[in-house]
Amino acid sequence: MPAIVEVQHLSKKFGTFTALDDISFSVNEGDVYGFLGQNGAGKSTTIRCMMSLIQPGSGSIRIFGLDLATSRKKILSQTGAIIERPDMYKYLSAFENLSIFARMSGIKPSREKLLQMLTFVGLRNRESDKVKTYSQGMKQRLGIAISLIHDPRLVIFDEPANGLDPQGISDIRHLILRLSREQGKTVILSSHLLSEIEMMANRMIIIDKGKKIVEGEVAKLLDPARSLVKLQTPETERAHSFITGKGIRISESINGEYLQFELNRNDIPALVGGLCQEGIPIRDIHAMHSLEHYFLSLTNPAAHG
Amino acid sequence: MVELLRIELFKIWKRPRTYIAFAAITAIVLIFQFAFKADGISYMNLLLQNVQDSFELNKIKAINGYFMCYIILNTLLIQVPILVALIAGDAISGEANMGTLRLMLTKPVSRTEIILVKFLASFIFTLLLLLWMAVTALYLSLLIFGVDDMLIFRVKGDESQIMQITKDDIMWRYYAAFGYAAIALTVIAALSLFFSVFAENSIGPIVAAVCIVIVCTVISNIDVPVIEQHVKPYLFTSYLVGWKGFFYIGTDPSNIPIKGSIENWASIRNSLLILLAHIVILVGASAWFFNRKDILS
Repeated sequence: MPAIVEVQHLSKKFGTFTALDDISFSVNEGDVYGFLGQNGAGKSTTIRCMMSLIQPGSGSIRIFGLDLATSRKKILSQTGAIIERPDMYKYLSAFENLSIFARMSGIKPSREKLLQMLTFVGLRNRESDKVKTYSQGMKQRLGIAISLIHDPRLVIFDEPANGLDPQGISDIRHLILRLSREQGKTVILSSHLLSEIEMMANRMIIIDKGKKIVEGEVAKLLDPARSLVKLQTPETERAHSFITGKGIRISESINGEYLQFELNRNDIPALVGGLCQEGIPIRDIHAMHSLEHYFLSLTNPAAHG
Repeated sequence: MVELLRIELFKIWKRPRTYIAFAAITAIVLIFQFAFKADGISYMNLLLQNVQDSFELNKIKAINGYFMCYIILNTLLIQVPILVALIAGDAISGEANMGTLRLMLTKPVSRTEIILVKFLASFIFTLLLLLWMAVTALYLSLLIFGVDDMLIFRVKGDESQIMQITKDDIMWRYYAAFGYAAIALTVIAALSLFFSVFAENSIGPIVAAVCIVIVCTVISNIDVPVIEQHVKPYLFTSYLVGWKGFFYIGTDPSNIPIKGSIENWASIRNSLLILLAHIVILVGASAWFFNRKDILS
């Protein structure tokens, strides 16, 4: 599949604060692409740059093969987005809001088409009610209708599950999956929840403190066979040379007592056997899913350090 | 652009706060009309106390529809800028506050188009406000108080003047005055829009625009030569009341009023040009800053 979004070396500073630091990634046509990071990691800033709400400090953004800096209107006419909260005109009805934003997208949909879209997002019988009477979940669904009414090729949802109850989260999840599977749309989805991305995305990027940590296929990145191993031994120097001698890279040595490294889960018994044969005592060995561990350590460093 | 303007006007039309301005104007005009109907003679006595001995005047006939409208405009055109600022000051900042600005800007519409449409919508609102003033202050006053020649009281230099404009020479002056007022009030709309670009709530730009109008109006009224020569010409508020110029009738060398004439057309024309320049600069600056603004709301 060809890449329809190509972000190269994107950086952005607000004063002295670096919000984005040399971020590069690409999204292929038909992807559900997950954008994962803690709150404040730089997800929304990246998405705002992609929607030209924020001027990038440096770097380039190409969408549908066009440069965002010079072809903004063309790109946005084929893109739908909800950035953070789905805010609309509270004093207008859902129907009026949808009609306004459809016309701003350059189309003049019929009443039937607007009602069809409201039916798609489950708001058919509330279309005349003012948005100020809507729950957060209903606003989110209306936001999705607004982002889809002009039939865009690319849809961007920034934290779509924020503020929703479990039923609302499940509804939105199903809606996004339907968009991808039934309508073949390319979806970029940001979240601070790994489980959200894992359930919906086929490719993902993790960013932290404005930097790209990793990008790739979700199935590979979250491969249950790859584990982060934490070994406790009183003889760390001998253990270190034994393990590195096997071609394994030690990622961290903690307090002269722990060694941390990535290893295929199936290779752990052989390594333990080798350490025992060498007479290196093992006090504790603990294997965790590596990417999950990494992400949890970002969100809760005290518990996963 | 036309579609965007339609959308903008629809949003203004649907907002309850839009009608506050029309209700306020109606209330003020009705209070004026009631007060003058009930006791207009006392007002005329006060106004004419220094000249009563000089000439005879039918005070009942002097309080006619044209005179009433002039009195009302004199008062209202100082307050109306606040009503215009209420709408124009909310144009961008209100969208930012509601969170709809970022949704708008994810649509294939340029930021310059948004500024122009917001400005045009504020301009149309200003026109409608003035049209409503014309209906209530002029036509309703003509219905209530009748039609007759109009007296204009004016202080020029050290002397007070009373000018009489015949009833068949007045209506066009009002149309011209309302047209001038529309341009003057559009400067306020452009100023409020300019402040609106920088704010994320409506209060700031509205208060800022109104404060500038108040401060500049106060300075414009300081009759000290140094202010008159070096400050006043650069304050837009000095030109806001230029509409009155249409009622200062021209005279021949023997001081006889010339029907259909204006005393100082060049001054009105210059004032209009200065006001138009303010509008162009303020709207241009709004677009310039808005195009470079990071939308973080």
